Amino acid sequence: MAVNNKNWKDDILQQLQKRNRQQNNAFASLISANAKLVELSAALKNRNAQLQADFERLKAENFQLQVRPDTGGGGGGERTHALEQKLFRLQEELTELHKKRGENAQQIIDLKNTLQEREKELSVKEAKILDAENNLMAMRGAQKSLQNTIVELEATNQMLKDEHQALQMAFTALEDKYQKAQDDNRELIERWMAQKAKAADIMNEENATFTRMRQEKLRKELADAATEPVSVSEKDRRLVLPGLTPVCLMASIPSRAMCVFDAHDGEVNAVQWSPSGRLFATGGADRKIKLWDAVSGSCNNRGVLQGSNAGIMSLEFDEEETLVLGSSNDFASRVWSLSDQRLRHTLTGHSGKVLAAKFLNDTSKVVSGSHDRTLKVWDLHSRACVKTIFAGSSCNDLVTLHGNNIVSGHFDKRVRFWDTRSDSSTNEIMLQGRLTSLHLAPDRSRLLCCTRDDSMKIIDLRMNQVSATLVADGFKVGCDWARAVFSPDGSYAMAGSSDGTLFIWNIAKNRVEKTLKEHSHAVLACSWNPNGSSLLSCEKSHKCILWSDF
Amino acid sequence: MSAEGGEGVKDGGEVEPETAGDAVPHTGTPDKESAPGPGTPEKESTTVAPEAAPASPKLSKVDVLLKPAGNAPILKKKRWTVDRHKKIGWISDFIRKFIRTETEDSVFVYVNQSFAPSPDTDIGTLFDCFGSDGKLVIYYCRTQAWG
Amino acid sequence: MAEDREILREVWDGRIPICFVLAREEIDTLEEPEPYFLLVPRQSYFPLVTDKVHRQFVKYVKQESQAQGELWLDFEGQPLRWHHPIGVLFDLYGDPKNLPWHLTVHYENFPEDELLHCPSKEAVEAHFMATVKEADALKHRSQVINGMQKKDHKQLWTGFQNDKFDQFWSVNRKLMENEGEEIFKHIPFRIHQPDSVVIQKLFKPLDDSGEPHTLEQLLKCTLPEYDWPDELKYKRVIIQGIEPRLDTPALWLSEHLSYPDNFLHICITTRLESED
Repeated sequence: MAVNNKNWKDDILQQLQKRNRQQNNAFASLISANAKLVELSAALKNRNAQLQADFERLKAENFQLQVRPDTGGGGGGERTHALEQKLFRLQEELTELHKKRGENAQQIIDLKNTLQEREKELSVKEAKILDAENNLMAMRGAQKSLQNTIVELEATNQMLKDEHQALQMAFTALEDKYQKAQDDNRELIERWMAQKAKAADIMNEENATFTRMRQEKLRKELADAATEPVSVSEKDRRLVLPGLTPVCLMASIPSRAMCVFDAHDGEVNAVQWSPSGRLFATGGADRKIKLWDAVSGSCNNRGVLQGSNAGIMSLEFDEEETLVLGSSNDFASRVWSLSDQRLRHTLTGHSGKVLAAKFLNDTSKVVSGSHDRTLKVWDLHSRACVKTIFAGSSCNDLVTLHGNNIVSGHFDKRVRFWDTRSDSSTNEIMLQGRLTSLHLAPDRSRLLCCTRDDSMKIIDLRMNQVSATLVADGFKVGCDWARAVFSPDGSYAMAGSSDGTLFIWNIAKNRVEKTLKEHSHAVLACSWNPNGSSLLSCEKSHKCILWSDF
Repeated sequence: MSAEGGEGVKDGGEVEPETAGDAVPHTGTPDKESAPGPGTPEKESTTVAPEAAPASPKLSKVDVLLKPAGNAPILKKKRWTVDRHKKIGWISDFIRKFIRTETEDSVFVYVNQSFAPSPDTDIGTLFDCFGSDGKLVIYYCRTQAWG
Repeated sequence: MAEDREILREVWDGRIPICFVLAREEIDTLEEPEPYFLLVPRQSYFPLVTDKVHRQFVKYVKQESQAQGELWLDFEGQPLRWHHPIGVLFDLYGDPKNLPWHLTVHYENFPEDELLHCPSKEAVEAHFMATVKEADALKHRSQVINGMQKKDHKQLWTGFQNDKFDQFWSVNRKLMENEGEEIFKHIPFRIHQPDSVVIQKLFKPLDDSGEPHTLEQLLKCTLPEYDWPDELKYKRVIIQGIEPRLDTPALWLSEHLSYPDNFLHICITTRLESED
């Protein structure tokens, strides 16, 4: 340990000594010598400067001393002194003159320089003037061309003005023409309306006569029957003859639910009796249309019409009872044939769900109303859309009037009247709430409108105005496509409420005749059997109810 | 000076358990100091920066307790978590900002109530050498307090 | 306590010849200043020895730099920290085979990110005393330095500043007290490497069995990522300009080869291929 200890310590000492030898000792003398030299050189510099100053001082002194002997040197007499002084003065004068001459010469040189400078300036200015003149010429040329341009532009302007005036005149003439055409149009419409009113009056007359005759006949038959008592079978009493559209003389209001059944999965959006009253169809959110008959108080499924890709929104049978028309949320309307229950036509073209579709005129055409704010007329022969009417608001229901006339009910609270031969609506009536359904009275003189302000309006189509408003406590319209209907004799109106109650109004008395409560969900649609004796209603959840007293 | 000296002695007493713990690398007792010991040397040698070696590489931050001395204002928050690689100069700038002292006014910072570390000293190094109870106590004041 | 007085004296007498040159781009006069040579003590700090250098060069730089008057130094583009002893800076960056050490004097573009400002000699004194206190905090939990009188502190500083070995050591002796109760708690040391931060850690002078720790153990503890002593093939371990053997006791090194600031400054540099 001790030896080892000694080793490292010696090693360190030796290294330190070596370090100091190499790093200080080698340089110590050199650097101190350098420092001395630097100091010495600084001192020498100082000394040198001092000596230089001394030298200058001594030189000045020496000069003074040289002058002194000359002036104060000899006592050589007054004359010499005077002469010397004179000489000195003259010499001074001479020097003065020399100086002056020099100054003059200098002045001449200065003046010459000034002159040269001025000349130079002058030439520069002349050059500038020349430049400016050139510029001016160029400017004038430019000005002239600009003036030409102005003249040209003015001419063009004048021409344009004239043209404008001519066009204005043409426009005024066309406007007058248009005004005249409009006046003509109005006059024609008035005339047409007058004709229509006349026709309606005649029709009413005919209807009245017909009714009277029927009643007469009935009374006679009753009288005959009274005289000749015969047992009448149940079937005969219902006046249901195949192939014959039943005529309801007086609707009776059932008071009990004959049959409650599950029609569809989910909402049952539409229900519709066939024109003969033998069948009815239901349409639901399960994309199906089902056909049913009602025999002795129970409802039997007679078929399912498939093909729709979304919920069915409305249904219609044709007058001959051979076709069923359904509109769907899949933007299409479809036509099935009843005999073989097959899909015949698919009418696609709407860009929104189709809320209503009806046969138009005969069964060759269909009109549909869609959420895409248009109505479309389809030709079933060519299976093509033959007309698109831009209604401006989404259509919730529509009905077809005689001929080409359509009435549509819209989201923007308006009922619009259309003639398919023209593009614009012939009339529109604004109601207080958005329309959910339209239904024509059997005599086609009145229109039942159901609106979201929970009231129903009856529009007299001859007067084109609201003739009655039906309201009831607790009556609430359940959705945007809740359907309301007239009774087949036109004396009642029926609608379902959001709480499941079915309301039936007596229109003549303008009050609720009856309420039927069996549904536990909002009633969406209802249909009155054309023979007037039974009702159908359907609701938001599966159920459909057949109301009848028989 | 004498009163503060007394405090210094007391403080030294507090430091004791920590300094005893720091002898660990030689004894091999499991402690935070031993972490870079047996398990990691190969990994350590691959890292370029030699300063990656100090005490506990997993702890990149240390707790610092800032205490006022003399008439220096008290900070609302005394305990701070500081990056090991921050310098003491950064701490004095930080304090200066917090007690809203003009930049020209000096702030003196002391460790162990005894010496003022050079501004370029690492906080981590000071923590390793003079921290106690898991924190480094730093006194600050506006006039020279010790020495 | 340090008994090897001869070694202490040799350490104290260490000097480095330096050639100061004013940065070319900062010369504002026609005349180019001559380089200035100085033999400076290794133990000292640059602000204590550069007064003459300043006087030599200040008249050659721009007016505004003259007004500011703060000079800083670089060696081959490496700015030199005034608050490290000159010997440490030389061991770290200089080359003993290439003397004198050529340093460039600057007055402009102070590298704020790398250097601290040195406003006055008082700043040097404050730094020196703070370092001595930090060392004593490690050695004796500040008890020795706190037990001294103000005049002792002053004597330590003036002895150091005026290069008075005896004056300095008469006080420093007490700080190096290392007997019985007074034995160092930890060895105050710092490891310097070029391009790296200074490493300082707690390190006890004796192992559990009371045997003194060697320099090799100190290096193993502080730089475990190197493979000591084989690392010596690639690295030089320099203290006070020499390379002590790794079996040298760390405590003895602390007592004898510490700088006056009481820290054992160890420089670790790369051993170049050409060197032996």
